Amino acid sequence: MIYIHQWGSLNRKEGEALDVKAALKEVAPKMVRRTDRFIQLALLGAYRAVDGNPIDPHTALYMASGQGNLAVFNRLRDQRYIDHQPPKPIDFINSLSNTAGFYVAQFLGLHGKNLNLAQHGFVAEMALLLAQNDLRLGKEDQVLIGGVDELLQPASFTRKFLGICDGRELGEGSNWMLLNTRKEGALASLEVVSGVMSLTEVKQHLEAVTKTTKVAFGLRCNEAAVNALLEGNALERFCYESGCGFYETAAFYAMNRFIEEGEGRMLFIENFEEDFRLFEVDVLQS
Amino acid sequence: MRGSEDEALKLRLKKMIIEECEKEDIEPEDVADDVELFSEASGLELDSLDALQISMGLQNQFNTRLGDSKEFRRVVTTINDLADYLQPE
Repeated sequence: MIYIHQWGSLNRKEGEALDVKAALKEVAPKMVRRTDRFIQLALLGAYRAVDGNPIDPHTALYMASGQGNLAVFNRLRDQRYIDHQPPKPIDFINSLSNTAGFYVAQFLGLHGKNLNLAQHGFVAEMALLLAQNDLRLGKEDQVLIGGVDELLQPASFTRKFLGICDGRELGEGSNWMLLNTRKEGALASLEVVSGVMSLTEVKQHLEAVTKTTKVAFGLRCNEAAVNALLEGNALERFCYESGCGFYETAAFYAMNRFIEEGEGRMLFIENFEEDFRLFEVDVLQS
Repeated sequence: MRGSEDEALKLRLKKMIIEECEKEDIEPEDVADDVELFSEASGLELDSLDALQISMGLQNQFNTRLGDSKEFRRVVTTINDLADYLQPE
């Protein structure tokens, strides 16, 4: 079993105001220079997870993102093909896939493993699974894990990139948590189901779930799948969706919201194309 | 008019350096004309990455391409020297 010891969230829905740079300047003024908004989101979310306190410098850092720092790639493209100029050195550096992770590690004084995962579909689940495996195998003693996604403007660009065809609200966020294998002092336990399931297999899995467990669905779960999974059982749904717009790593936001609620067990179900992935969070203390 | 006597040019240079190096807390008037930009005395705390950014700024805003780091070190010393290089007379 792995345990969640600390968490921190930064979340914004489309249309809401959030001056990330100003907020970061208040807590880490030296980290603002040379960082762009994506990196600043990562820094601020991670800062909130550790509550400004130092953590073990050997803590590994796993950062997940649905689209990575796409804004910097857009800038590089514009500099090269519209302005016909070479890329700005800072933008070039910030375009490296793990630059945000580097800044977070530098900010928190971490010098352990530093991983970056970026993909469409299941990115939060895969990062959590990787952390679970590494902690269980003793490869890591502690992992600071987070999901960071930036809402790029115009929103139609982000919508197209993410493949979101309906009119649902988009969002952005930076949600982090500190994981290790020690139960003492933990806020919640976490169990990530390692395999991929079909809809039928998830349905069978739900039959064995206790009635006190709440079920939450990932934002990529389509309504038909949700209805099919809830049909014929009395499981209560944990609805976090009204608090966030769509972004690929919103699963981390759902976890943090559930822990914040202070009690109970949540089964989180995510869907991508025909596949489903599950994890469970059991709150031990608020 | 030599660059070092052209206040408008020197102000443009200072603004470019502040912008390129993201030194938002520094005002152009805080940058002395005759102090070496990359020295401790300048208070700018510039490093090699800032040198690259300044080099790009010179290219983009002043249409001046510096060949290599040796030339950069020769040209980008003080604001006065840089202004004279851009505008010898």
